[in-house]
Amino acid sequence: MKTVDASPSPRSHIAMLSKIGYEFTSAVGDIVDNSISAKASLIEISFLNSAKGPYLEIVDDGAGMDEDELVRNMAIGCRDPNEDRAFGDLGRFGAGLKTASFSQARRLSVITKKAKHKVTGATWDLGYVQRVDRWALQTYSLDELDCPQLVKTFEDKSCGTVVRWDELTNLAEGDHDADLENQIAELCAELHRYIGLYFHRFISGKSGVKFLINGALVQPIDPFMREVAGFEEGPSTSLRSRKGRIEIKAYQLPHISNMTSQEIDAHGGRGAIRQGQGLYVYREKRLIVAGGWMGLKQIENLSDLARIQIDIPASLDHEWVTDVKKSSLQIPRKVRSKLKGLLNSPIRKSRKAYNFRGNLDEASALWNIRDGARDDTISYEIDFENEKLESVLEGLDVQKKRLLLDYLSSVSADLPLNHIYSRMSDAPTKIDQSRLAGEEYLNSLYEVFANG
Amino acid sequence: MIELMVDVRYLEPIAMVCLCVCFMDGVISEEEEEALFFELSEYFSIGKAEFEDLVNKFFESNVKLKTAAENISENEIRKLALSIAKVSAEADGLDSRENIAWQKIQKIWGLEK
Repeated sequence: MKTVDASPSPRSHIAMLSKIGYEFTSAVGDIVDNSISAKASLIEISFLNSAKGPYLEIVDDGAGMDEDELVRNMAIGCRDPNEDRAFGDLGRFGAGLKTASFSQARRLSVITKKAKHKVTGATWDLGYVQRVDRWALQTYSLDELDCPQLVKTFEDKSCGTVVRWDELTNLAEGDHDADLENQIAELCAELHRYIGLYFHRFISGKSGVKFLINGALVQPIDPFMREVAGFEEGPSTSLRSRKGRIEIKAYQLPHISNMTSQEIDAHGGRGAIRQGQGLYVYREKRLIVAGGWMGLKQIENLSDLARIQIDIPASLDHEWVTDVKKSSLQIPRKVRSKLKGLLNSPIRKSRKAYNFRGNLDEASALWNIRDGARDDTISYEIDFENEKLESVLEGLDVQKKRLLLDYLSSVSADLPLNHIYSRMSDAPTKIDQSRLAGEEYLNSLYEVFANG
Repeated sequence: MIELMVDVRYLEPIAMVCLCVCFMDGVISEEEEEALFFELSEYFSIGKAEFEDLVNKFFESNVKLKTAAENISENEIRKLALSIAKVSAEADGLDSRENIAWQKIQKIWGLEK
């Protein structure tokens, strides 16, 4: 038997790497992971248009790298995925910097400075690699950099790293510069929310990492809404295995009626809150999975207030299979069965919160909610035994009584349920029925319809 | 009233048997740890730190069920270990693999009913 060299061609291999389907936000998130692992306290993301085209730059004040470390980290597949990661290291495969960048841009430049070392830079230019068909990484010193702005960035820094994407590939070409500006603004808004959610524990935690996106400070988004009145902490437990401990904690969100419209908006709206029910899996405090029950149960309206926080250390990477993008995880079989048992409490509480609201509505003196258990239907009907209505009916002759009852039963039958459902889902706080009650409203009705 | 104290030399062998049974499903839950600590405290004078050391020792040693079973030879201690193992493993619901492990120990010791 003989072996032959079947190394992939750099030209085609690098093209393939650029097709790993990263979302823009998760690609930036992968670069941010490196900044966090480098103990950065300030991460500035600039996504701007320039005369040479749009570019994205991530500048951090982390530990930085010397020339050897930079070249090693720019190599494709620079770490063994089976190697154990240190506590707080957000990296997984040693591929994120390159694959995330290639999915979004044709040029990836990293300029970095380690304390007491010189500034050093390296660029992967996909066009160049494809032309020469070699893994040709371009390296340079600060003097060779034709970018006064970057030189300035490092003037005041003892250490830090700049990751820059040029020749962005996922922006649709428009007829007008304004189209591009709009796209950039939309992506920045998405990124704001993504960073605020996926890195919320770094922003609000002891480390207090500060993120700026085009100069705007990113606020943390806590998926458990611990800052909102009515939030409840549920049971917690931990599971220990040979390589580390998994911490699990259940939460129940406050009912939507307890939230202000700003709070609902901050969490993406009512629909997003409902879809966000489920498991929140953190790896070294970095959110990896944001909601969904990962096959443990179905998403349903009554459990949309239930959330479970799962913390796993990097030492358990071999058990929690993830992909290069770190956008999904597989729950180990042994943990699945334990988790199932834990789901009941927050889900039961969520259902209870809704049933409580339902009971409040049922207590209304004007409406009957008919729950037809036999044919499994529910109908909403004006309560004809209401005292006010009874006194009105007493003063009417038979024909007018019939007319009024006919009218009221039509009101019940014509209840705009679809519209109410849609509005309750999208913007519940915009619904204001309170203005339809009270003396003032009654007087104006009387003025228009009875006195005219 | 159960006679409280058991000779301290049996603490580690009993703990290892129980941990082996609880770990049969791949994880040891907080509930299992708490139940095991509570049960062991009924028979031994043991603090939380000492118990933590035992659990850490279990994870570091990679001890197997059969080996753990072989370290206990007295029938009364075996019965006690079986009883504590069952209570601990049941704390978060008895997994079928945990039950099999428990029965296997019972068989190794010849204590099947």
